[in-house]
Amino acid sequence: MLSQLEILSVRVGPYIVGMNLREVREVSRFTALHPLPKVPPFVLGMVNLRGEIWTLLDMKRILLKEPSSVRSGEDKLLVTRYPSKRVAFLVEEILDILELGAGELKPLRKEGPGREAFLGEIYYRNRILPVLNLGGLISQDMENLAKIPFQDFLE
Amino acid sequence: MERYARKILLLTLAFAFLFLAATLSLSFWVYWKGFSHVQWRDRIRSSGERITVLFSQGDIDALVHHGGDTTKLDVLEKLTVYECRRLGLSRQGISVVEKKRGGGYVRVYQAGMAPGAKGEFQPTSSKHLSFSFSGQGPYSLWIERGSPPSLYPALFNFFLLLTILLISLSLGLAFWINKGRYAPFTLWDRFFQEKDFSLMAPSSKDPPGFDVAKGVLRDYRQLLDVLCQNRLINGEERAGELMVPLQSSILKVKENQGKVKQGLEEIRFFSQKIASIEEETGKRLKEISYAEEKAKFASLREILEAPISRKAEWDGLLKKMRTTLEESMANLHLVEEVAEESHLLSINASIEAISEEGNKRFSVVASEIRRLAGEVKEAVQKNQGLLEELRHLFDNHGQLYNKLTLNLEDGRSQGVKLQEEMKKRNAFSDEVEANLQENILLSKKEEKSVCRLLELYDMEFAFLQDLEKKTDEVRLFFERLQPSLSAVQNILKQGGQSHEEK
Repeated sequence: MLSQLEILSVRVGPYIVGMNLREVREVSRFTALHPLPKVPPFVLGMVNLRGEIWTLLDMKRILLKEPSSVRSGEDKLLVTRYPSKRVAFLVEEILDILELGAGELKPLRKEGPGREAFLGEIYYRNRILPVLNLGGLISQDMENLAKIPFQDFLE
Repeated sequence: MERYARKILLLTLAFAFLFLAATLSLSFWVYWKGFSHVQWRDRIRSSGERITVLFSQGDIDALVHHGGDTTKLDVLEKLTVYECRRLGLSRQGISVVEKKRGGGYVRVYQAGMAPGAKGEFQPTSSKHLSFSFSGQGPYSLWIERGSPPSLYPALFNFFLLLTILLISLSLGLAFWINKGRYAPFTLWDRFFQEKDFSLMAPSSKDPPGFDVAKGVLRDYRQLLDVLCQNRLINGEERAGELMVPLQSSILKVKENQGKVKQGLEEIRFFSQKIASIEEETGKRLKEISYAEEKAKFASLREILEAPISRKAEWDGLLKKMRTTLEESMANLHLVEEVAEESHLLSINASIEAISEEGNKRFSVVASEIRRLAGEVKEAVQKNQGLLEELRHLFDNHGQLYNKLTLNLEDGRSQGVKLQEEMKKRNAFSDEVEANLQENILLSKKEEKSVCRLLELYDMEFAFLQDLEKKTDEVRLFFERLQPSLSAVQNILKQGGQSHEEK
């Protein structure tokens, strides 16, 4: 049976969130960071991946509003598939790829600001796993991105 | 002594005879040679004037004209050539007048003349014994008169020698008469010590004069008896006073002696018992000190020493195991890295597979790779957990072993202290044993001393018995002596009365 949707699960702090695999260009290890001046706190800086410069955002700070401790060699980079934005996210761990059938992705049960940043939620290993909409997330205004309480949708 | 007495007496008499004979001969020889002694001497000091000394032959005087004065001197003149030489004088200026009646002399010689003074004697008259002396400067003359040689010393010596001869002959005769009967000292002892008055009785065999000597000796003996009698009477009273307390004291001593002897016997018994107990205690103490505790300490020491001696080996083994564990952990970490990379690679492969230009079949391979990477990662994580647990166990074991070795070291130090304590205890035991041995020796010595004391008490007991007997004898003797002493007192009283009548 061919899957309808592949969800990449990552760990952000104590939470596990998923994202559409089609929105991901690649994953790699975090090696070196070039900080940028006068940027919001969730913008960690610039990274160089095989000669391409990407803006690195802190997923933990965006979702949980908590600063992450950048660990070179252990944290992972999640590069999005949006050439106009050229945005990468720093996550703590890349977990697995979940292949979902039709109807397994459910809409979010909660309402509130920032709901558009999620595709829905899935039931995975006895827990509810929210699935991020990376395109919706990075299309947010920078000021809103820092203010929207995404943690209300995490479990 | 008795056998030499006669020889000593005869030698003494012979020496006295020879000495007196020599003295007699010397005195006669002096008289024959005309030696005399100085009878008178005077000195005339002059400052240089002429002195004339006149000797009158008739009245044997000397007149000395000294300045304006005339001094009369009694002179018996004779100055021989021999005496001039003896005095170191020259005859020059000294007048020598022969006197037919002999005896005496007058000597005038100069002395103390000042340096440079000269003097000379010159005879002034051939009829008179006179001469003059003229000198210059201060001088002094010695005018000396000597006595004529006398025959009296020779006669005295002669008669003394004769007396000695007579006494010697008398004693010799007496000894010759009593030859074979009494030795001289036996005679003395019989008379003075044994109170044998029969010797002093007059006898027809006595030589002349012996009766007088015997009478003197009898009187002397009687005087001694009187003196002895007074002493004996006083002594008997004093002895009578002392006899009673002395006898009572002897009885008390004899009574106490039995008790003391019984006490000494008990002391000897207890000394023997103490010595035997101390000997047994010393043996047991020695057994406890050396046998049991040394064995215990030896086993304890082996138990303590064995793990400590293998600590280095154990530490080496632990270190090796830890090193191996670290290497395994490093290898696992590398495997984990590879698994992580594989995981990421499989994710990326899946991403590529679902992409529009990707191969759908590649997604199957990617999922398989991801699954394998996941399994490897799980296995690595399990192994890591096991290795961590193992390392934790090693750490705990090492800590426990360190604690054990520390405890063992502590135990060994405690063992060393225990050994020192045991040494001290053994030394103390040795000392106690030495003291016990010394006490045993002392007890044995004490036993010997008590035995010796008992012997001495036995001897003292015999001595007291003897003393008691002697005391009784003395008392009886004084009782028997009392009538004799009373009789002597009566004789003395009668003698005193007859003396007063005489």
